[in-house]
Amino acid sequence: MSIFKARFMKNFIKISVLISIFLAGVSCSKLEDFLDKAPGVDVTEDNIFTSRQNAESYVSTLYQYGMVSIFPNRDAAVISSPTGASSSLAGTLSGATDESENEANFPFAQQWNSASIIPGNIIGNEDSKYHGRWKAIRNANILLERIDEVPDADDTYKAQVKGEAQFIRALSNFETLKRYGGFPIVNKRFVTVEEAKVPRASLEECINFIIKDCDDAVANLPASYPPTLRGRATKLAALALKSRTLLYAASPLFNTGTPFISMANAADNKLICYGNADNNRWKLAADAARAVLDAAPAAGVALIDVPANRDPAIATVAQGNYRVAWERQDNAEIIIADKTYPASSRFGFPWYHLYPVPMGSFWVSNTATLNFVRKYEKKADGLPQTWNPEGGDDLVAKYNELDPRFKQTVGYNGARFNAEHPIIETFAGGKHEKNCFGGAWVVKHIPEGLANGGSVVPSIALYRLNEFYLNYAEAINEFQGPTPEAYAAVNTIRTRSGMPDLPPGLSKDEFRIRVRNERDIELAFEDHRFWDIRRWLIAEEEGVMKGAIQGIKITKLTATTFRYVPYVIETRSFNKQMYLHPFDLTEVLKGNLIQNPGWE
Amino acid sequence: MKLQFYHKLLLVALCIAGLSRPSVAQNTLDSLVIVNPDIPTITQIGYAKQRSKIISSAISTVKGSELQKTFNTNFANTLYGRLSGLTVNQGGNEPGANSPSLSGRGVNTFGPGNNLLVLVDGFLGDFTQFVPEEVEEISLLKDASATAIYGSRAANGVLLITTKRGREAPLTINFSTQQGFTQASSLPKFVDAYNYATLYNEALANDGKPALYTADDLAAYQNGSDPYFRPNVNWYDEVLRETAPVSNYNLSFRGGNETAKYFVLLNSISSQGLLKNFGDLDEESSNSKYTRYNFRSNIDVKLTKRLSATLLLGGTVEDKANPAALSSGGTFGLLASLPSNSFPVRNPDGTFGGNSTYANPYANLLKTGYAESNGRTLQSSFRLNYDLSSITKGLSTAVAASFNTYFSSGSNRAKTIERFAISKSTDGDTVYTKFGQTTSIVGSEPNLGQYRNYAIQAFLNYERVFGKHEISALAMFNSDNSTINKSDIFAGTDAANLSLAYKNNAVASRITYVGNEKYIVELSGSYMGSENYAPEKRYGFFPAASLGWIVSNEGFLKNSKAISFLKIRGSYGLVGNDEIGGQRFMFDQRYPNVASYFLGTNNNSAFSLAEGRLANPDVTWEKEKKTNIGIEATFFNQLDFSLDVFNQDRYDILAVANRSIPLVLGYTDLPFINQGKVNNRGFEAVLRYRNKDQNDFHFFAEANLFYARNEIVYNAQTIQLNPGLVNEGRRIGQPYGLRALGLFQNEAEINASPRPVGITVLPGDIKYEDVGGPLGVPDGIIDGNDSQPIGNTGLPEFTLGLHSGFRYKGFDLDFVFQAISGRTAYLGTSQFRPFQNNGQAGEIALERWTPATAATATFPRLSADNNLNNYRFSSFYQRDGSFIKLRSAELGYAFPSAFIAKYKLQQARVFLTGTNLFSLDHIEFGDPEALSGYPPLRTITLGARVQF
Repeated sequence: MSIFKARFMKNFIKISVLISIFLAGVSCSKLEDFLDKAPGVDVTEDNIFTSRQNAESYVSTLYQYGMVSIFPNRDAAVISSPTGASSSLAGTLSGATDESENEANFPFAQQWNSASIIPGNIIGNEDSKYHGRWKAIRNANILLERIDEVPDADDTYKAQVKGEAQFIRALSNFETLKRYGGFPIVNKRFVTVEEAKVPRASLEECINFIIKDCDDAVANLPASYPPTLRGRATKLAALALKSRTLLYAASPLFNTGTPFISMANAADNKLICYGNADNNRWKLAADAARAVLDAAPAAGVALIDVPANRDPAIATVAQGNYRVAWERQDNAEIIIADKTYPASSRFGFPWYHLYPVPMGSFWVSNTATLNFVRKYEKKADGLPQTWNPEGGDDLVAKYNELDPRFKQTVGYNGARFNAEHPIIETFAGGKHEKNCFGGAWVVKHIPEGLANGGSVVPSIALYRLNEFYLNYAEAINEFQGPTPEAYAAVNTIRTRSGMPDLPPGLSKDEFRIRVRNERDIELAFEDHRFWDIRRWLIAEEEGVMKGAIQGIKITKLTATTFRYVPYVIETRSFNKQMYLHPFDLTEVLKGNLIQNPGWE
Repeated sequence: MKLQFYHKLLLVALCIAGLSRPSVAQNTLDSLVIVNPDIPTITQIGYAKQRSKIISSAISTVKGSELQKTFNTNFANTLYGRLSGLTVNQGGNEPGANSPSLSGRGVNTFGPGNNLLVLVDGFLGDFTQFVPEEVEEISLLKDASATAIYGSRAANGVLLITTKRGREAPLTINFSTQQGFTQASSLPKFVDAYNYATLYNEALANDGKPALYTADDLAAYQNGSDPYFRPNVNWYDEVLRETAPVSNYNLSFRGGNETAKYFVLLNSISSQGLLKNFGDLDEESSNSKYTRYNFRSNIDVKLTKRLSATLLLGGTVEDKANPAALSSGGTFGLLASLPSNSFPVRNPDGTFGGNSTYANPYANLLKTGYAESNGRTLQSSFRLNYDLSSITKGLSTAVAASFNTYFSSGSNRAKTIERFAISKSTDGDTVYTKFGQTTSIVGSEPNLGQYRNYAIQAFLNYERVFGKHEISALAMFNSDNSTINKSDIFAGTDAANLSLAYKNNAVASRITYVGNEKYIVELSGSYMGSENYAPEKRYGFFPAASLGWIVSNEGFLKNSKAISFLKIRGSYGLVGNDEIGGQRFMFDQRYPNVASYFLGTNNNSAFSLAEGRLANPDVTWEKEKKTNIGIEATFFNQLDFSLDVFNQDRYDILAVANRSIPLVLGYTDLPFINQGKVNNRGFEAVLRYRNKDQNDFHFFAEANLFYARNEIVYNAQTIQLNPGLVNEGRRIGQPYGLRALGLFQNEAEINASPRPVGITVLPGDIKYEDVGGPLGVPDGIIDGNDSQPIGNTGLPEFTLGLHSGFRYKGFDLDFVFQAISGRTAYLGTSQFRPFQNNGQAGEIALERWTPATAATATFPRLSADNNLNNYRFSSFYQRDGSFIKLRSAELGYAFPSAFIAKYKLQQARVFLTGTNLFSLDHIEFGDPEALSGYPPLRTITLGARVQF
């Protein structure tokens, strides 16, 4: 090798090494970047709180997760539960009460009727939203934590979002309270898993927490919204939630020194009751209901009461006050409604949970029991209807004598259903008789517009104003007896549906019976009855959630006369621990929850 | 047409090459007949080669030339029973869609990623489209010491594919061809129309319903007197042919000198499908075929005394066509459901038969268009080596870059056709009822998939011997970047993230010391980072060490005649697996949009975002601690034996903490947490005998045995009240189902037994064991709570490969058996579900329970309706899935050299090759690995190979 070549090679090596070092240096500084994720393809939490518009997309999720419907299936579908949605979550909870019986045997309500509820199946048999509520609360806590950071939001908007978050958090917690009693209080976003291992708080702490959120929400929320934003929480909605919470709090289930069954460790009884009975809680409940009634006008909320429509000739939408109040979307009586779904035909959600199968639906519907129909008084004198236990040939006459709300609630034999089925036939051999165990179909919530394949927006109210007259009457009677205010409240509800006033001079106990009956009728099939009979501790009484549930068998005698014969559809079972739900077994096994009594 | 044109081109090229050869070389470098495969003296290890004797890690190797004695359109299908520790599980059978699944040392994780890391010539690549003729060697790296250099991708094992290179020798030209046919080695067995109708009547009677078929009907089905209204069609015969042609042509050039070395290959392989040639019958249809052209050009050039370069180029063009649809899956699904008496192929007026439930498979294939696909692969790498011995002796450096790409596009022509059901009117006329519409043809050109990756590597190598001390060392840097167009890899990842490249950086090193040719110490490790983790969690260190002792070089064994070679080795190390599943970038909290809420009196949809699955900023790769102890021995220079025992503890497997995190946290979905644990242990043994080369008789036999059993140590499963449903302590993929106790014989037995709720159970129905309930104890009800572990998984626990051959004078024979055991096959296809979902009845229905056959029946009573009791997932339909398959056998004859020299040939050989010739198994009704879909194929070819 020549000297020249050798020198060249040495230089070549030096140059190569220098270049290598240089390249290595460059690449080292780039190495970390090389593994970085490309920017801008994900929404992050910080993005959400950079503008009011982005934050709105998070607020609408608050409602998506947090609003409450009467359909457990909706809850399971919107927020898939870790335990999975269940097709048995069909229909509503009404079938588990004396109001109705499902036309099929698979819906979850039947598990309650046979007392087959266990900690292992509670999620699939009623509380498919257990998980969803904690998600809604987390969502609310994140909003409360960060909404102040949004640069282009004014204080009014920030206060409103806080109020909405507080309302949804309170609503979610109330829904847990009415099922389980005391619950783990979650007042911030948990970051670590350890933080989430919160034990149940006492019932009293829980109620106070809910009421605090309601009060804050009332302070923060606007009285009303422009029509394009209708459906969001208002001051009045928060007051309504407060009223219902305090009514439940004052009721015998919770307002007692000794619970319906003692917890395994008696010291834990404070998780499921106050630990003392205090009549003043009824005062708080009455005041809260009064506050709703007082604030309603400012929010543009009022009872639907056109005097001419109190006792409509035909039970269609244009006719009765009562029907308008439950049928028409966004009507004046609604304080807030669930608006999770777009318009749907009777084959879509949620109508196929309601629309009677013989009328052309395909899933599940409810038939009204005689136990329920019996509650309707005669409109002429306000006295109970007499139903012969042996039956009779005067069914048409009996029906005609009832409270005008009857024909606006129940699809009985001979009644109008809608344009597609002008006459309901539930007599033996009739068109709509199949599986009509009670002898009549439930038509409440089913809009006329679904006839002939029509689509209707589901808008089933969470709170309507009529409830708060009854909350008020019940609470004031419990606190100080049937005062004129109590009478006035019940009679307002009766009058708008063409019923005579309650007779004067009722005792406190007599008035309680009447106001409860009024509630059963006025709020029927709206997911009140199941919770009312539990808070009143009457579920175990014969014919409520236990014992014989009756229907009628109808025979056609002539074109206009029908015979009815009462019969027992089903003998139901109720165990005392069913006054509260069992916590889901897998949750209890995680160690932070003490199980409710009787479910251990 | 196209195919033949290419073949002609190849032949012309061959002739020119042959004629232009100046002289016949004296030495034959590639023996056409490989008998007595010796243990290779040099073995491919991670990023280097090593003398086989001093390897202290667990590696199994097979030569590409050994894999030629078979006919397969997918290269991975040549690996059955070939490499100890490699489980090859037959995939589909359709040509072009028949890639088996490969796993190294069994299943080590319940996470989604159990795939081997496959490297072609040192870079990420695909080898399934290769032909054996272009492959020098395949190595499976198994233990930590062999794989640690691949860091966080190594835990499932590494498969190294090395392609053939040129060498310093005169040009040799190899040409070979195989011509033959392929056929279905088994088809599902269904009953004919008479038996179908008879059994259907019986099923109706069992359901309490009147018979559907009259005695006249049955007679007509039997004697075929009424082929239109009482047809008896064997649809398999109508659409399939007995045999389909296959062919392969291969031409390679290999040679070189000190300056340049080359290996060049051209290959054309084709396999026509089993469907009849519908394209010849109708111009709007297509014949079923698969064709692939491979090329390779591997060049090594010495540029200067110290600088050399290597350019490796390999590529394929793959064409596939099928009538009706690209995959025949739909056709075979229809064939497996359609009763033989449903309708005739054609009605009396020439229209196609059909009914409301079923389309006509013959008409579908003939008249609904066709689909073609065209895939292109290019794998390339370029490397520069520089000898740095001027700095210090034994030092060298190299840089390399690779670019691989694949793209496949489709070309579809589709239409629908009408079909007619026929019936007789009351006055005897034939009434035609139309189903479907005849439309005109519509074309589409879909993108069927693509990937591309590039990588750069830099190496510093050192190799030197100091007296009795031998040292070799390597330090390297690797950076790669892969883009994969595939949406299902990380389900739930936002669309915009799917196209983001997968990237890795690594520095790796290995030092090997051999002392006195007896003591071996090797340390290796890599420091590796991936883009999928949080910045501070990206990099990890994966070290391993191994020790070896060549006992036979010690004085006390040096002169032993019996023990020619004996080595004991052991290794321990940590490796990772970054195919962890879940979404990508799990460290980042996602906010996906959810269903809209509706606001306002007009129900305006309000866009909604929600917190997605909770992020886990600490997410990281799976890790595995691997221990391996091995022994290698040769006795009398004839008998090789090796045994490896391994224990692998995988941990940090992603699992959702269902068991411990309260719902109170308010999560959407629980975060994935690195918490799962799996143990996998087993052994591999290889025994190889070869007679000493003497006379004209050569013989060898090799058996490799592999066993592995895994156990889920922890998978964070939700607490199970029923012990039968607990996963921990059981195997990954363990089937859970009901345990069948036989068939109910009478009402009394039924009344005394647990039963499902809401289902009427009758004599002849399956009786199940009641082991659980909602409270974890038997509840007298058969339901999902009674599930328990039943049988084995679909992957074998034992794999035995047996490879043997001999040569006598010019004749040679070579065969490979694969035997597996510890596997369960499940009879779950329509063949075993008579009349369910309006389907047909397999021959298994003839063994049904009836009051007369109660004592001997092996199948439950028949039902015309869907039976909810008898066809649940249960042990009743599990069968021993063990088998012995003759994967390949070749009989050859090499012409004597004196004879062929006259034709200027170096070597010439003809051979008869059979692939998948037979299976010995426990399944009466089909192939234990392929009970549905495209039938398994047996291929027989006649071939010739010449070398100039």
